[in-house]
Amino acid sequence: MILSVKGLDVAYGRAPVLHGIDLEIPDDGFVCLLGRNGVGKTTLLNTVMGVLSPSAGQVHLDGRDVTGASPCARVAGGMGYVPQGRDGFSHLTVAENLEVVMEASVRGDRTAVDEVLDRFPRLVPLLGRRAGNLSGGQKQQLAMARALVTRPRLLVLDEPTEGIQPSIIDEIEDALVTLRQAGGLAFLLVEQYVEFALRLADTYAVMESGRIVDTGPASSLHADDASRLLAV
Amino acid sequence: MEVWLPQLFAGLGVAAVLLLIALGLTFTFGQMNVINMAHGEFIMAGAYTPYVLQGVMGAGLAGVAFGLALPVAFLVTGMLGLVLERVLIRRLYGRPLDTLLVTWGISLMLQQLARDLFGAPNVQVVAPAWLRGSLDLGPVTLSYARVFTIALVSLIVIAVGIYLTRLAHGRRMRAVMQNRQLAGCSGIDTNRVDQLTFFVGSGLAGVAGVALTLLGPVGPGIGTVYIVDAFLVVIVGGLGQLRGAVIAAVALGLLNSFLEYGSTASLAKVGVFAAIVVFLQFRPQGLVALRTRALT
Repeated sequence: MILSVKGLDVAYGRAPVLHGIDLEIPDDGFVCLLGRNGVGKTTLLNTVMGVLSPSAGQVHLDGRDVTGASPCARVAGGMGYVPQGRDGFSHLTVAENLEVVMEASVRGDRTAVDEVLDRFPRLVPLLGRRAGNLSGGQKQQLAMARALVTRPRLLVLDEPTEGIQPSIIDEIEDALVTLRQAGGLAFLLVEQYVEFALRLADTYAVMESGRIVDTGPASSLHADDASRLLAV
Repeated sequence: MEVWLPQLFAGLGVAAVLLLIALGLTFTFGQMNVINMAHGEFIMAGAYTPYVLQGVMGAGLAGVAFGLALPVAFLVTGMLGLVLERVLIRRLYGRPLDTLLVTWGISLMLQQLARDLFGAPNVQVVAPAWLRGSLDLGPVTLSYARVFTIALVSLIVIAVGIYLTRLAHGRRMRAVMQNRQLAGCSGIDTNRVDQLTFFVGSGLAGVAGVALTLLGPVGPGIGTVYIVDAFLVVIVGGLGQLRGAVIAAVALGLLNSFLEYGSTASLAKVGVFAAIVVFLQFRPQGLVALRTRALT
């Protein structure tokens, strides 16, 4: 298992948010995490990435206990993170966004930058532009490219289709499909666009009130049923 | 011509000093948003460095000691800053008021330490022989010390510019300051970046302190004289903006110089402060604020 989460409890101050979360992702697995707004999906991702500390439970990355490790140690261990809201280093250029991550990475090098630019050719003519001045779709592609520069073994994506036009969503989906086919990479995807998530994932998990309440093969969950399940 | 040319050069001299003392703050305050009230005392520590070195190396090597003081002061005050960041400030990130109070307390302690070590009266650093005298340019007479200050600050601005844009650590620092959480989740060791940023910012305060010894005596309170001006340059320039700090220092230096002509130094200072208050009412983000499509 590339990722194994056991009995994870997380609280904001005294307010509990996650309760006893168990989640496993095989080495080449693709797990999508579904759920309404506010059920704790992003909190779970932030805890997996080491931004938040759990009050109980463990996170294992490739068999190693990383529960107390910093985010950068987890990235060094093989995690890559694509944040929600297309956050980036907005005052750095596109090229600097990629270089700054490459320089800090233990596995990234110039070849890794060239590879992600081959994967996201729309970024090539924008290399000198400030990231904050990109469109939403371009920012999302840059967010994915930045995460891939570190050559991760587990890619954690937080709602990559949020607010993106359909043609760019298709490109993101194509990129994820190609990455999967290349092998050696597992995925943890949080997504509200259920059809998109179920087309890509092989396992789904549904969250409600800080718990995982349902899980199974993605092929067994019909998108209409999932949408009903997730309806506000 | 006879009036404004000397005032112009006097203003540029003031601007060079303002920029020199503010450059360190563009790192610690501008980039990290840490209100370090002890920054003035780092300037003081830098100012005492050539005094100590000249005492150790003797009068015959006063010039060499002064030159040596520039890198030594950078290292000494950089280490002071690093210790302050590791021991206290890193526990107070996100708590600006606590940081302000704690660093103010540290500044008082450092001033007292300087009084205990060097005595309360001011001391004088011996300027190297090649920095004594002045350059006569007809209507304008420029002291070599002033020319040296302008040249030093120009060199440091270029070096800082290269550091921020061309070097890996400079880029890393800008990334951390723009989005700390994402930087960590992208594999950047944010703790290490904080340490080095504070080291460089504090080290630059030390270099400024060495240069200030050419303009007057050194005392335990030298930092308090300059700390407010340093913060003003950074705020007027725009937080963390090197270009903004340069423009702000030149503008404030020239304004101060021209207001002084025909009035007094105190009145000129009042005029500069009033201008800053009015300016910040209309442009609270400072002279240079990068615009992006996002609000981040």
